[in-house]
Amino acid sequence: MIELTSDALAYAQEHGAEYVEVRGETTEFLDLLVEDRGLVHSIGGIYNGVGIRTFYGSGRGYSSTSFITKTSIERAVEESVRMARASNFNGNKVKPIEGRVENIKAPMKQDPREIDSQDKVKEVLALARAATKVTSAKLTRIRYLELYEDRTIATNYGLRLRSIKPSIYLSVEAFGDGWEMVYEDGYVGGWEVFKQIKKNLDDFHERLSFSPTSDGAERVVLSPRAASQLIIDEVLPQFIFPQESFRNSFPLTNVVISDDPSYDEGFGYMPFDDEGVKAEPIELIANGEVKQRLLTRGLDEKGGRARAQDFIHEPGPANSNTKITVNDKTELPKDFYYVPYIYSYGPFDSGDRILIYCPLATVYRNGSPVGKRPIRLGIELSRLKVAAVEGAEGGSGARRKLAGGIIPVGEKSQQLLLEGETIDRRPA
Amino acid sequence: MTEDQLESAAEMAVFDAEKLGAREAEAYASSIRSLRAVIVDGHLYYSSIFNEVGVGIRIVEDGATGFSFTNSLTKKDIRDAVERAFHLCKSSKPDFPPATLPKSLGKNQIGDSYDPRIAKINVESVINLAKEIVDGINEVDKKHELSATGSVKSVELIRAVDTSGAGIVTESVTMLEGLAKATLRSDPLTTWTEWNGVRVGSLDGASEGSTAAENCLSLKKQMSENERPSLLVLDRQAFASIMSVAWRVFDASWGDRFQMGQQVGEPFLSIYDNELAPNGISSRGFDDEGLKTSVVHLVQSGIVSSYLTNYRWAQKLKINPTASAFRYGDRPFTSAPDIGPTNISISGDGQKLDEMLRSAKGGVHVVDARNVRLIGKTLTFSAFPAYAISSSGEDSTALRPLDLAMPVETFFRGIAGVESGKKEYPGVSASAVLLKPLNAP
Repeated sequence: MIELTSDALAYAQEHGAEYVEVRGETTEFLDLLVEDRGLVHSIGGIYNGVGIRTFYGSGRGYSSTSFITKTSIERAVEESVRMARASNFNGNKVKPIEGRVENIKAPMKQDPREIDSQDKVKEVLALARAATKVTSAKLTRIRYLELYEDRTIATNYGLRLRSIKPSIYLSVEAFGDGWEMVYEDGYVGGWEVFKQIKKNLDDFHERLSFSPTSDGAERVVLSPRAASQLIIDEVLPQFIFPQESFRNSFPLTNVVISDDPSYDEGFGYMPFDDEGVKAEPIELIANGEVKQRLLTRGLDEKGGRARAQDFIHEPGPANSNTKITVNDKTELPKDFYYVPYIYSYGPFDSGDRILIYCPLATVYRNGSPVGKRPIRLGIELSRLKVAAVEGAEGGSGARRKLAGGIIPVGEKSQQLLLEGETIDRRPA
Repeated sequence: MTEDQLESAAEMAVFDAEKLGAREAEAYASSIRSLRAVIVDGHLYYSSIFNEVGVGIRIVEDGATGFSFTNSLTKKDIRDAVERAFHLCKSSKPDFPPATLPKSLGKNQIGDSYDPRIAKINVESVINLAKEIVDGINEVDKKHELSATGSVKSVELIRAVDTSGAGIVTESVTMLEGLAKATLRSDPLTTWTEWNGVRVGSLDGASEGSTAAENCLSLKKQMSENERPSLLVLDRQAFASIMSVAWRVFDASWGDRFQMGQQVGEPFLSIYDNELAPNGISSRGFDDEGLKTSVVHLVQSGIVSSYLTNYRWAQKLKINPTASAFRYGDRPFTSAPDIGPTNISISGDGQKLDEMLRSAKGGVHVVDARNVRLIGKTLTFSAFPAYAISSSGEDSTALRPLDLAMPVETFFRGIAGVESGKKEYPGVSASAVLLKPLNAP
């Protein structure tokens, strides 16, 4: 691969490219789908390939191939250069990053590839059965995704970066009568990550293990997971993607949102981004203002948030490990709905309205849980106020579809009390 | 990558599986070339050309299944992938009823939709066409001096995909999409305004860009608030967008699917998946398990008469397979066959669009539907662009997007009229429908 990379760099220059990036990737993975009756689907595999990005004037081209032969790579180089020449109408000429060499391996205590797949299936199956017991779902389906990614970036300006990143991700889908629950979590690391996810899932289940009730409450408390789902996944994208967001003021004035790719246990960990920019934390939102947007070097000289699912995708702007901090604090109310996770129907095109749904919210009366019931919330962002309530902050990992494909991100928040939202009391 | 090379890789995989003692093995090899360019405000925002080759191996033994793949077609890598699939199969619990693979697969079949010309579309023509359309949008921007009052953003996507495959399961699909999207943003609006100017197959450069931008502007000038409508006329594109999600009620593997024999619509309503539709963008002679395709009648006389199913779910539900197996994504060889529609079509009482508009006075004419979701049994979408229907049955005021949510069953039961004729969209061949009554949130 190294020899082919050098050849590709040289070949691209011969064809007129001024700046050349070659991204190489080998990913081993195991993807198990387990239902409460057993393993129903499994995929194990390795894929590898190279992506070649070339720059000519202000033009840029990206081409990739998984067919690792000299001829195939040369063809990819030629097409990349042709695209760069044909798109030499961009306003911004991308400058090369100065050369440096880094070899980074993310920490891993126990290599999951050394554990027999049958043992993994048993562990995941136990989780599926536990989930069914708690939710009384008709069907529970767990996806276990284990990745071992080995990625390199090389440029004709002497950049030689390599990162090895193992990770484990789990998603639990439970299907009831007309409702669904989706729980997902993931971290960078080895088999120890699975144990962490298992513990988190057990804690999550504890908040669900109540009988149905028709009681209600006036106030709503979102768990850290639900708060992240609402604010990071549903609200934030309207503000931080440079080509899609144009607003400069953020409706929640007491919220600070930061993004830190260097946190090496977070699912969004990246020691350098997919353009080779070293990882640095940034503040995205503070004091009701958009402080920074997510940038690639095609959009801004500094860049820093270029991410790609794999070598077939050109890197696009994406967040990494994103954290919500709310400055206003309040005590936990006595009567409230506790929302462990949400399912979003929006946001809708009309803008500031988001409809969210939780089929398994817990009702608290006088500080004690009395049962669970579904609730729907209609949220007008302009009216919404949030405050952090006592209790530990929490994080989780998720996979989100962004410009560069499906990207792993880490999300963290405190528990939040919502005010100004509307509870829809019709049967959900 | 030639079809012979792909076929040889697939045969090698099956041969290796047999050597390991597998009783049933299937290999699916594919080669995909995709070319994509996205231009925003006259700058190349995203580009990608990829060439993906690989083989996926499915082994079934004693009712259990194992799957693996490789994108390296060397003998060793294929053998390793086969061994992984075999090992995973042994780790899996037998499914109930026991899994088997489909029999009597075709070999070396080439679908009628294959168009080798697509493979010859070059990088320069895609970029130039994209830029031409964006230039058209920018011309409108200049003409109306929009930078003074707001801003016009333009997004352009051109995509050409050429897929060919060979092996024990053979597929050949060709797709050409052209999408011009003008996006207008300005202070009085808190959201995007979008208009798709070019749809499938229509690639008329700058004039399409200008039309998209002019449509966008015209919408911005006219938009007003609207009360919840009692009647909707969903135009073809809107219905196609909704059905591209709502088809799942006919998915055999979906927990909330409709029940067989259930009355879900008026007696005139017929919904079917024509896998062989002439010029259908998803037409194919055989599915991704190699089964011969046909027309699948999902709803007849308003009653659910079939599901879309792959071979596995047909076994589970004890119904005939409908050759609806799909391997999704940019690397179809990396996944075992799922279920998907090809050209979903609707027919009914053969109304005309202008008749429907006249019968829906005071209602809303919805040209497109965005953000369509089906969560549990609830269907939600944003109706946009949408126009109030005047007392003479014509479009009058452009409306701000309407956010609608309803039980999916209500949606089908509410179909009170269906346009005759149809237009092709990816995965859906749509006609306009009259929808009533609606329970908006």
